Amino acid sequence: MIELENIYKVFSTDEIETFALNGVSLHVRKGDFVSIMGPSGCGKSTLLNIIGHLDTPTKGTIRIEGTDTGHMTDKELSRLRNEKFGFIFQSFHLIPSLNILQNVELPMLYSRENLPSKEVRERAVSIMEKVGLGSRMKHFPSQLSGGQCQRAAIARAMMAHPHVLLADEPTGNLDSRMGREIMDLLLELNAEGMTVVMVTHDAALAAEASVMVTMNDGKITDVIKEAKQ
Amino acid sequence: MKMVLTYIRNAARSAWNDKLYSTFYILGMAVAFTLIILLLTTAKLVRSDARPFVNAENEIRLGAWFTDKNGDEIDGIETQDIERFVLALPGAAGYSISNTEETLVFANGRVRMASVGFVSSSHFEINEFDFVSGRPFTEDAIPQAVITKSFADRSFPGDPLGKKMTIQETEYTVVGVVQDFSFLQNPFEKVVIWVSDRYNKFMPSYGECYSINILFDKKVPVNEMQENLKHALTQYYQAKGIDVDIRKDDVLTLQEAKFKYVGGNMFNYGAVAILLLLILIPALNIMTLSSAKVYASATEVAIKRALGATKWQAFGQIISENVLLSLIGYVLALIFVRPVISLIDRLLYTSRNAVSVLSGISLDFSVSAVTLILALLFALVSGGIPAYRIANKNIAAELKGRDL
Ligand SMILES: Nc1ncnc2c1ncn2[C@@H]1O[C@H](COP(=O)(O)OP(=O)(O)OP(=O)(O)O)[C@@H](O)[C@H]1O
Ligand SMILES: [Mg+2]
Repeated sequence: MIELENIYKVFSTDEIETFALNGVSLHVRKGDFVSIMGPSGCGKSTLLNIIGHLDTPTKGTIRIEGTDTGHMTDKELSRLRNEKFGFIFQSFHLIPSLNILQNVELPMLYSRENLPSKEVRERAVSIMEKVGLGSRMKHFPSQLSGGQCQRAAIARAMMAHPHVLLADEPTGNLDSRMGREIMDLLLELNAEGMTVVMVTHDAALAAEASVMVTMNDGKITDVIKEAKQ
Repeated sequence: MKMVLTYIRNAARSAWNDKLYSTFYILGMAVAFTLIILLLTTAKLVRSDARPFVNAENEIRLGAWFTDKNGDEIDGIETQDIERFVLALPGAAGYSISNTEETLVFANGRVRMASVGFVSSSHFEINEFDFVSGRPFTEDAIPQAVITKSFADRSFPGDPLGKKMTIQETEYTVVGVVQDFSFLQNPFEKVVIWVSDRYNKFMPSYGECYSINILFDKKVPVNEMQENLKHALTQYYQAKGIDVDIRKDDVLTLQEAKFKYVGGNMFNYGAVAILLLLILIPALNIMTLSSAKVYASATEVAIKRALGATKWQAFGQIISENVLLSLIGYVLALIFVRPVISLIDRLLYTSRNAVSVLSGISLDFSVSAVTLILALLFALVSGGIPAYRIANKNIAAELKGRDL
């Protein structure tokens, strides 16, 4: 469902050019749980941002569910982000002035689905109950623990029924127990059919994925597919 | 439609979440727009013909004195000669005579100093005074008076018609009330009470003459009006053996006089400059305030873009808050402008019984409309540039490693 072909990403500053991605090709199939590992600065976040179309590659083609996204307009790209991807960040990126429920409902504001607000509310409530935040809906991000914030972020990522969850070190800001809970939640969603691509530094968590990608210096050095079906 | 409502709701919520900023923004805008409304209103009064004095372009006021070739002051046209003088004037359509005195007025048990105009009854017609109630005075046996609305409100609460007042030991009955007007509409008319010239006890003992307001036919070009007048005046004084020197300033139309005495002198340019500066200061403050706020929201905007907001939606959400606050400021300015006018009026004039710069100023539709457009423009400019830049930022770069 996601096909990357020979992706390059070069960051040019005044003096130097950094080759963050140096010819990356990757296939993610529907239902995969892909983990991406590698040393700091090897281009993991850059890769994830390019998959999610938060950034554009310098060179190379991306196909999402068969469609080349290279020439898409801002409107089409926005629609793509809204409908196909759910983003989970290391630092949660919840909007502090909105409560958790409003944060979770936010993607529907930009959705083509045009649900009546009552149904938006119902969907948000049921997703929040699923991630275990049913009793915290009117809280603001500042009133929640890191683990709860990340659950809210996952609920928000799920809200518009995306096809892929993209998580960049989702457990990076959490202690190991809370990290475990978040990982279990992602595994549970994957078991229900959600495709997940996760960047992590935690080898133990990475090993639980169905596809383990290792990167170094802007290149993919290793892809291990687990035999389990 | 739903999207617009959402924008408004989000804008309101965002404004509410930052009350200090919103308060500053709204108050700053309210001050700026109040000043803009004042400026536009006064400019409009000087420029255009608001009632009364709608005939400013074809009305000429002859003063009570002229100068001869030696530069010595000579009396104006003698009272008994006025009618003959005007009737012989080509293109003249009507006239009134007037003489203004600051004098004591006894009304409703109180004594006030007030500007009283001793005028012929044609004065109301040729200047098209706007009667709130009643009518012009007639040259009846009973002395009658016409007063301005604000003088009526001060002196005769309730119905002023039929009430009595005494000026120079003559008792007058109020027969008409006219709408207030501004000094800007006619720099020569400062009167709040008009009575018939035939009761004027100051004349002729003071040796002063009447001013003559001559209305010309609309078809007569301005320079022809002025040439005719110069010619007639020269002849009039020649017959008396006086070599009069009629200058351009002696035969200005009311419109020219407005520009000369109100719109053109240094003080007024200074006042306009100060006013513009006063508008600029809150405007610049708010611009910096709002761009700082917009730039601070960069991460939030990037998050929304990651969730599927298009650049235009992101732009619209930022700008709608500015528009909302600016509009609230505009509405406040509309509410404030009247009290502000009367406050300024009170500060500028200790005696309220004369026409002042701002008396009779009212909120004009076109001025409100122009100010509304300015309010929207301001919101777009102050928020638009930073909003555009924020909406176009690279999402990935903006979200990297930044905590909200
Ligand atoms: N906006 C940018 N401008 C310049 N260079 C950048 C930019 N973003 C990333 N880079 C460079 O690209 C390379 C890859 O960065 P990236 O953030 O993808 O690394 P990473 O693998 O996610 O590292 P970490 O594990 O520390 O998060 C790094 O060398 C980084 O310095
Ligand atoms: Mg990273």
